[in-house]
Amino acid sequence: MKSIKRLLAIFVAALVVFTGCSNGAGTEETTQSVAPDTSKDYSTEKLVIWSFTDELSTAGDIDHFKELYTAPGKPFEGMEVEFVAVSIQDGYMDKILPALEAGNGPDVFTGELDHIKQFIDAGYYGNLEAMMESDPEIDLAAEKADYKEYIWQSGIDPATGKLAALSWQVTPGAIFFKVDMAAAVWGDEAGFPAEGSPDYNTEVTKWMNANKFNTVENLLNAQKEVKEANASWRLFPDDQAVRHFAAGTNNPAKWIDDAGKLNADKIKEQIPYINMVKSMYGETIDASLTANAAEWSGPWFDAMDKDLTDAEGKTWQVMAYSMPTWGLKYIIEPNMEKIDANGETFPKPAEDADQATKDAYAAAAFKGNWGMASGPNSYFWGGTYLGINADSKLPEAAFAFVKSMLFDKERLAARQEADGDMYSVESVMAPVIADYAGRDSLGGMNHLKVFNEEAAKIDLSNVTTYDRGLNDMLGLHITNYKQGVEGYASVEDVLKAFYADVQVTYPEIYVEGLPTN
Amino acid sequence: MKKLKDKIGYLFISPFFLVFALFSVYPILFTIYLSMTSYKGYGRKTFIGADNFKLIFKDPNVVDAFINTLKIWGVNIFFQIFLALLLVMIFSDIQYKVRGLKFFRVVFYLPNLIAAATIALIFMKLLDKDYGVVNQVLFGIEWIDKPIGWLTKPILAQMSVSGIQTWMWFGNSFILFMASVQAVSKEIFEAARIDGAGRLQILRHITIPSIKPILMYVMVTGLIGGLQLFDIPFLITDGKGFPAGSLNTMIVYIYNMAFVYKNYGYASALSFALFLLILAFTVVFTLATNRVEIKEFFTTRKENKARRKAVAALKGSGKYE
Repeated sequence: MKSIKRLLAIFVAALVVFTGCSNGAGTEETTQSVAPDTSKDYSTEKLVIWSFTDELSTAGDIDHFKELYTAPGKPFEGMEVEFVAVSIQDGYMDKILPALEAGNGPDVFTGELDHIKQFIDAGYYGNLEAMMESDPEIDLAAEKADYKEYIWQSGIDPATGKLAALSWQVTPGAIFFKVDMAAAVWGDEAGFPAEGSPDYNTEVTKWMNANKFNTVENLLNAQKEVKEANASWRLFPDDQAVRHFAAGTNNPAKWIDDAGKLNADKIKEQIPYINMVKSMYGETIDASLTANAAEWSGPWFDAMDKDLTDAEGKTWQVMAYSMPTWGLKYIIEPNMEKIDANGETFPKPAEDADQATKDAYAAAAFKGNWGMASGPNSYFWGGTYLGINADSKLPEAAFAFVKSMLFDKERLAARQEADGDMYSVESVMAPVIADYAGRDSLGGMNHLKVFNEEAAKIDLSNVTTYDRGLNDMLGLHITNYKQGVEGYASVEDVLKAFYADVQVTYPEIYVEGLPTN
Repeated sequence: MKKLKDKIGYLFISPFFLVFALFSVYPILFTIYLSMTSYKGYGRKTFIGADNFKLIFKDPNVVDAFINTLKIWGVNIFFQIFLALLLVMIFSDIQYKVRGLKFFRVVFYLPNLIAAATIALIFMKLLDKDYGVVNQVLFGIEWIDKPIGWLTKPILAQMSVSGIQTWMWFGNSFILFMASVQAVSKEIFEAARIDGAGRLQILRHITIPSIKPILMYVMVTGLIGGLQLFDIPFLITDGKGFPAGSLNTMIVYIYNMAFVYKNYGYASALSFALFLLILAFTVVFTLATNRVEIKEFFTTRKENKARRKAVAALKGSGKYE
């Protein structure tokens, strides 16, 4: 019995020691050679790639890499490539962080901007720039000039000043709106384009950019005007649509100041946004400036192509949605109104409709009644960044994969042609934008050009690892304020409650004397 | 040889202890360790002693989250047991002779088999203030003239979640209670009936005493599960704990602290504090509801001890032989 007790004591002690010792990855930077090791038998090796979407597999990136590098006669001949896709909803970050912490992380892994900020902060990503420099086939300066500035900036490790992660995508956002509804509301105002004029959707968009969506104040007024024009119309489905415009400027302040503390300027910047959200809220749809259709809910999707019917039986129509590049393709277009050969609305077939009807619907033309405007400030949403594990045992193979995805411009051009997305590479996008015939769903508008211009205005050099948490936290108190919860009578109450949370959650950034109005 | 034979048993039971150590002891120890650090979920863990625990006493959200959890749990456990007992009364009544017990057992238990995510989605659609089916029906039959905020008014949201929890779990309690009641001889119920006992008297003097151990089990497991309430409030509010933080339960708060705000140290301290709280509640509850049994246990123990002492004394004096 004594020996069992001793054994248990040793086991528990070992656990405690192990617990105490697992202090995460180091942040030491080393220059790694990216040339394949000719003395190494790569057929016994395995390159592991993790991503939060299955895109690398479905878009053929893994196969492309195998073709270039692991096929017979290629530098990493016979090497196994394992691709693991874990969605964010299934806990991508909760799974990858412990793996990286324990030193068992994948060789290559992806992340959205707020993820890569954490990876970089923890030193999990290796020095991509150093690898690029050591590859004679890559011209670092030319690549830097070819990539969108904000994409390059956002992947820089502040500790080294060098690039750690890079994305082939660029995901600026816009306000997608129904042009016919806009014409019904503002058609009589000075300068509003006449229906049927050339590039009608583009011209309406320009007018909206200049007159209705250019400032936070005008965005709020536009909502009131829509409601006044037609009591059952609303500009946005819910107030989440305006969260992207909280800064209201293309030169936003950063949440954390140079001293590493909560930045008073950023807080002041939020006040007009807090007031706007409060003004938009109504307990019933009648009283609200929105259709009270929560983002990603059934009614939110439904309102894209049809009238909403509420519990009371009243009907509502929504004019606009705030979405980034991918939102147009994957969210809005699949729900846009389509028309048949006679110009009549082609109703969306039910899930159990026969295949012929589904095919006919897929082939039908878009009504083309949507425009795409910018808001008071440029914003981005999403995007997939790629980086290499600082502790990878196969840095040369990992870099080869990144190279095959990010620096093989022919392949990127073919990929862009296949998916039609906005890419962050100028040499890929410039000819596409120049030759683009326009998006049918947007009435032939060259939306790529607009996205390209928006992307150029985005500055992410000020993004910190605290941003998501602080935005979420402030969002909770803004919701309490707009709903009139007890104790939230003013913006001052919102900010005081926010500071109280910051003090508990992030004591290291809290300072006394922050502004309350 | 005998020694080895004696010890080999430990080898056979070791898998349990290994699994227990790995999946229960280690996480608890690791949580205690993390609770004394400042840690973002990655990178360096800085030892900060008891600072995270001190913070708990300054954090008003902790008290709010705890009260929310208790409210939701309290209403749920009351109705869960009430409903289960009511059904036990009906199904065990020798006069009613209700048929189809097996069928109803399955029907009542069914909500327990549905994934929480599905349940949350269904109820979000049903209870939506502006577009929900429940308000649509109430408008249809003209019971309301403005939509009810089932999930937007704090107290209603808490009661809605309690209702969902009751619906999910009353079948489980019913099956456990019914199994206990069925173990009681029918003659006892018949005799009570012949002696003129009413239904409530039968419930009080036969049914409840016969299911008491199971009732205690349901209440204790309900308490432990209730204080760890997470899935439905989290899914219904997308983790935000709306409205007015009324669905921000202890575990939702801990989850957000760790996985949204990346303060693993404080989240671990909160987890450990909750663990101690649940332990204390469970001990107090068990002591309070088993006073008679505990008293009996100690009396018997005392008597046995006295008896053993007397026997030893007799042995010593030689009278025993």
